[in-house]
Parts: sequence; C-alpha cells; structure tokens
Amino acid sequence: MAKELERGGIPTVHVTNLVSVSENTGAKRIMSGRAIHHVFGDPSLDADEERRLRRQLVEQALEMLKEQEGAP
Amino acid sequence: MDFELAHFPVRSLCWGAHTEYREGELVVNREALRAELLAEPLIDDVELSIVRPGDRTRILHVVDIVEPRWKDPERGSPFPGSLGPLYQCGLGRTHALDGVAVVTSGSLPRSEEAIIDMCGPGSELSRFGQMPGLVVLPKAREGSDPGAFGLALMRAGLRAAVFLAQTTQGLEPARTEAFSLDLGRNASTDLPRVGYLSFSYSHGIGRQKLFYGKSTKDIVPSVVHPNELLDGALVNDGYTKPTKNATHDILNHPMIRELHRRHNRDLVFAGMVLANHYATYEEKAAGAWHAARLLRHVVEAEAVVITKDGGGQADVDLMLACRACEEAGLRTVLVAKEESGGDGPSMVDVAPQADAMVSVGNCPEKVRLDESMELVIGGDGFLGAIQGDVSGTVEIPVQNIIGAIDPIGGSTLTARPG
Amino acid sequence: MKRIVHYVNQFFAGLGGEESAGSPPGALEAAVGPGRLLQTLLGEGAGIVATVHCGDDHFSENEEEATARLLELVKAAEPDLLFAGPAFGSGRYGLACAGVCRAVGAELGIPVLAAMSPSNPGADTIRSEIPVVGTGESSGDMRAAIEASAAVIVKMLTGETVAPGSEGGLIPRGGRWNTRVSKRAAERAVDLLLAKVSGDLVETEIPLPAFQEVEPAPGIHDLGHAKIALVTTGGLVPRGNPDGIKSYLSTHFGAYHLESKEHLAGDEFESVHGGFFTAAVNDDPNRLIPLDVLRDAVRDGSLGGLHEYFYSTTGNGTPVETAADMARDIAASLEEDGVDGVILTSA
Repeated sequence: MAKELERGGIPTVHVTNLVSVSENTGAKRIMSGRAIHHVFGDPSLDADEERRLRRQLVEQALEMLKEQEGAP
Repeated sequence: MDFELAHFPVRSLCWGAHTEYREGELVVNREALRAELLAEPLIDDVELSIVRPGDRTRILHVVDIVEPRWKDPERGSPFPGSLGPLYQCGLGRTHALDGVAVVTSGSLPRSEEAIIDMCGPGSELSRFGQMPGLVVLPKAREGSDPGAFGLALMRAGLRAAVFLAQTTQGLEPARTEAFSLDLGRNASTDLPRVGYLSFSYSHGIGRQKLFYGKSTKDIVPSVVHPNELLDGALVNDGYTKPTKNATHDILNHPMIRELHRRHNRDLVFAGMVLANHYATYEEKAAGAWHAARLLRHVVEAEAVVITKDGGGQADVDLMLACRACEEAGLRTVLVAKEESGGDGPSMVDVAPQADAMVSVGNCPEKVRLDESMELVIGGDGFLGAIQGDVSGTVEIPVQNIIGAIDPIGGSTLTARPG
Repeated sequence: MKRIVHYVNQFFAGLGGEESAGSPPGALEAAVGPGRLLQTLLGEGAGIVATVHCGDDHFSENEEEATARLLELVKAAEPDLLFAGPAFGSGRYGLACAGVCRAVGAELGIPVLAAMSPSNPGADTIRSEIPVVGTGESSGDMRAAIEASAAVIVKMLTGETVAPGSEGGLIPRGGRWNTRVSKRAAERAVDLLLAKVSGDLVETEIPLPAFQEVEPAPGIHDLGHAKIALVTTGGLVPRGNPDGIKSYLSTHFGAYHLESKEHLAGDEFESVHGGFFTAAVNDDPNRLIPLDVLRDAVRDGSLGGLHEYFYSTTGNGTPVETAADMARDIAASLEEDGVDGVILTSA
C-alpha cells in the first residue's frame, strides 16, 4: 500500500511493527511503531506521558516524509 | 550419541482380558487402561473406543495423537518432563508400537475443529485414518480450569501410550533401527553440511509444544540433538489449532528422518536448531538472527531446511529466518503451508530471498466428505465455523482433517496454480 | 443421442454484425455457424438440438431479463449440456456466455462449458466455477477452439466430471489448489536444497510475487505548508462499521470525515481488524490514528494542515494486489485533494 502511494507521487511513511514485512513489499519510508497493538501509543503510560510520546513519534514520522530518498 | 528404536508392528487392535502384545496383535484390558487414566486428578471419567481403518467412524475434537512408546524405567522414560521424571532423550533403546495411534479427544475452549475419518475421502488424506486407533475421551472434573484440563488430556494420551507399549517389555522386536549421528565435524567428506531449523508453536497453553515438559514459549533458539525429538523430548500441547503436528508426527519426524536417511549419502546432517514463534516482532527478529548464528557457527551448516508451526504470524518468522540465514551465507529451503483465497500470494510475508519453497498444501481449500458415518466419537457438532451434519456429507477446509496438512513434511499434499 | 444446446451471439447466429447487436433472445432448431463444425466433430453420439442466441448489446443492456428468457429457451430444448461461444476476445459476447452458463448451470444442473480467450472479462467472471476452454483472440482461431471444446464436451457427456481449471486446454481458475504428488514434502525439501547448493536452477513450489522497485516520491520541503492525510490498515471504523469493512481478506476501504474532531474517541470508533488484539486501540483510537497530536502540530504551525478524511481498511489476509488496487484509488483521490504526504499505520 505504501509503495503504491509513493508511486502515485505522494511520499508515505509506513508506521508498523512488522518492519521486515513492510520492507519485503518494497515500501520506502518505514518507521517502527511502539508495538503491534498500538503503534502510536502505549497504554502503560499515563495520559500526558503517552500524548508526549505520541507527539514525538509523529514528529519522527513527519521527518521521514521530508527525506528525498526515503529511508536510509 | 546412539539411539535405537525397537519396532513392534501392530496389525490388529482389540479389547481382551489381559493387556498384551503378541506377534502383531495388541490386546487391551479396557478396565486396566481406564484405571491408569483416572490417575490424572482432573479427569473424572473416561470413555475408551477402538477404531479401525474402514470403520464408518469419525473422530471429532482431536486434541493429540501419540505413538505408544516404552523405555526401561531404569534408563529413562518415553516422555520425560511431560510425563514422568526427567531423563535425557535420544539415548539407548526405546520400544515403539508401529502403525497404531492413541487419539485423545475433548472439547476445549478456543479450539478449531480437527477430525479423523476412518473411511472415505477424509481417511485418504491423513495417515491417521489408515491405522487402528485407541480413542481416549476424558471427562473433566467439575470446575477444573480448561487450560489445566487440556494439559491433563495431553498427559492422558501419553499415559495410554506408555501403558500400551509396556506390553513389549522383555519381547524381541521385529526389527531395530539405529540412529547414529555424530555431530562432530568429519573432514573426510565433501558432501554439503545441511542443518535443520525447526520452529515450534509457542503461544501458551493449548497453543504450544512442550520441550522436556517446559513450554516452548520459554525457550530461546537452541541446538538440540535431532534424536531427542525422535525420542519424546517434544510433545504437542497445541490443541487449539487443526494444522498442528501431533506428538505422533514428531516421534516419527519426517524431516529429521529424511535427513538421517540421506546422511553420508547425499549430505551430512550437521544438526538442528529448535526455535519458537515469539509473540513480538523484536523478539522474532532477534530470534531469527540468533538461530542463523547458531546454524552458521555452532552447527556449521552451509544449507538449512526451515519449517514453521503456525499460521500468518509464523510466516514472519519463516521469512526473517530465511533472510538472516541467507545473509549469513547459508542456502535455505522453506517448507510452508499456504492460505490462498484467490490470485494473490498465499503467505502473509514473503522475503525476496525466499526463492526455494516447498508447499505442504493450501489450508482453506474445501474437501467434500461424502461418506456417511455410523459412529461419531467426541461430540455431536463441529467446533468453530464448520457447519453441517457430523455424520453426513460435509464440506470442510482440508486443514481440519488432522494430518492432511503436515507442517514438517510428512504428507504428499502440495498446492499448485490451477 | 445426447442433446446439446449451443449459445452464440447475433453475429455467429447469422443475424448480422454490430448493426444487429440489439437483437433479442431467440432460438433456432439446428446447428448454425461454429455449431456446424462442432456437430461434425461430435459425430453420431451427440447432436446440437438448438442454437440459442442474443445480441451482445441487448444482453449487456437487459442482462436480467435476457438471462431469464434465454434460460427458458434452453430449458425448452431439454439439453444434457450447454456450450457457449467461442467468444474469443469479444468482451460483451464473453460476458453473455458467462451469464448464460452460470444461470443454466445453477437452474438446470446440467454440465456447462464456455470457450473464450483467457483475457476476455467473461473468463475472469466464471473461470473459478465453470470450465472455460481457452481460445485465441479472434475467430481466426475457430477451428482449434472448436476442436478443443469438442474434446471437453465428449468427456463431459460420458459422465466424467470436468473441474474448472483442470488440464485439457481449460483456463486456470486462478489461486492455488491442492494436489497429491509422489514424494513427501520432507523429501522434496531436501531435494530442492541440494539442488540449490549445487547451483542448479531450482523450481520453487511457491513462486515469489513480482517485487517491483518503486521510485520514491519526492520528499516534502516545507512541512509548515504541507497537507497530510492519514491512512490505516488497522481497520479503524466508526462504531457499527457502516461500510461493512471485513475483518479478514478485505477488498475495500472506507473514507471517514474527521469533521472538527480534536481527537478520535473510543465510543465513536473501533477497530474491526481480525488479526490483532484491538483493546488498546479501541480504548484510544489515537494510538492508531494519531489525530490529537497532529491537531496540536497544525495549531503550533509545524504542520500545514490535515486532509479532512481518513482512509481505513484491514490488512490481514488481503492479497498484495488487492491492497495495491485500494492504494491506487486512495492515491488518486488524495492527489485530487492536494495532499502532500501520508502517514500510513498498520497493526
């Protein structure tokens, strides 16, 4: 899916825990999420901490959209 | 490490006054076997039946299948850790009753259906439909925990297996088979050194195998001697899944036997690694690298066969291991079951390095079982999504016939485009 | 003598070309056109007792009605077998053959056979359920097509079950099908490994999908002026699943308006994904679609804006091709709406 969106000219960051599966489909910008069941969060943290973590993960994802060549 | 199987073929199985094995005939005293099985504290009662090939009988809710095994108690036990005291497996002589199955059946939560048909198309698809069987159907003690009862059921199968094979104590076997495999490096051959990487179902009670009685969930990829698996070190507690390998399969492990057979002929069987299907991706990735290092540097293999033991998530392990091995310079072949509903790939994950795979069949493809049954053992309805009359014609996915899809390579089924 | 009904379009029934494509269903009590050659090849044992025909345009414009009428005409001839085509590469004709075969097979329960080119859309429609003889693209291939069809018809008339996609010139059904081979998988695996080690060309039993390299799209220069869209394969949908997104083997996606929501609430959205433990996401859907912090990012100017819809499907069991089709649809609508980048999340 990520690959087809890139092909369509839209930079796409794939946030997933199954990194190799994404690599094997040919995705270009892959970011490892927090866990399989909650890539953008962590229920073990309190609400404020979790939101800070999520912001940080989102910044990381957005940064990858800036890269010209996709993931290094 | 020398291991010897003493074979006692079973041609007929029947009830009788004394439990004994005589020249291919296995006679069982039903009450004595019942008393033996009631020693399991969580089992309140047990129903016992004998089934034979050609009988119009269907067995439902199959939990495990065991080959009867016996070992001199002074020297060991047939299923150490899983039943009885701990000994090292794969040493000395073990008695085996060939061509007979102890089948345990029971309704356990979260289980998918697994059946054995003793006649008709279902019996042609599984070796368990082609050998006489002793069916053990225990009833749980009121209020017992389902997981704990599942383990009791598993042990009941092992107990029955030992009880039956004990009859061969002091008897001369029809033949013996030696499995000698010196895993040290032998410089005098230029045959390729082949290793085996065996993944084991390992997701907790009812979804695991037991290694010396310990959940495979708690092991790390380890070098084991292949003879340990042929001698009862690994036991099935994976009753929730239909495409499991029963204990009977592991005791006759088709892949290990094949590598033994060709040892010093076409290849050198360099050894094996037993690994588990971890639950998280990080563990899966670390486990795959670890297994590849062991195969490369400890087993010193140059090529590896890899088998998996589960559904979609297991494909990820298979591919991670393939990639890790190939990157370490080991050539790989993967053995996989497929789940194809259409034209797309039949696996959840496929690595570009996975250029040599063997298919053990397409799981969801339906098979029409059109033989009507006179006796149905184990229940009055199918588990899970299968609809239909338990004694009549029914269409079921081939994976629900236990033994049809064999993840460790014992069946001749495969899938092709068509 | 076994009774065969032959279905053809207006052209092969001798009614004319495109100008007669609107002609309604009809029947002739004899073999016509390609049916004559077929009759010769079948010999004494079987006869074409009727040729049922319909104009291609008429069929495609009045499918339901035309199918019902054709079914009546076929039934009246009391056939043992229906043969439709060959339609070669003609799409409308092929689809009509497919429709007639399917209806007759289901209603009359007799063996049915079609013939057309593998690229004909009609073949795609029925090849998994009905045997279809593969032909060339044009009527230049008539003789070979009829010969191949005659051979299958003879087999069917002797009572032999001819499964779709089996050998003998039939178009493959698609997908993977079980079969038995002589060697056990363990032996085949070791054979394959030894071949691979010795450097021989090995034939895998499960072919790899085509791994196509894709050129990455140019990155975003200025996030402060970029519009981002959210896409997930984690199956997040409004509670009640209004679009019926399947939890397994999904074939379509949903587009859900974010309205002015500041975050996604657990009592409004849920995941219908069948392959992972969804409790954490159902408690707080922002763990899958991080709307709350993206709104913050837009507010503080580090991100230009958010696309007003998020797109969702489930990824488990979905063939890569189906996923790619969905992605192409999503990409097209995102491009139209001037979206600069996507965050795609998976379970």
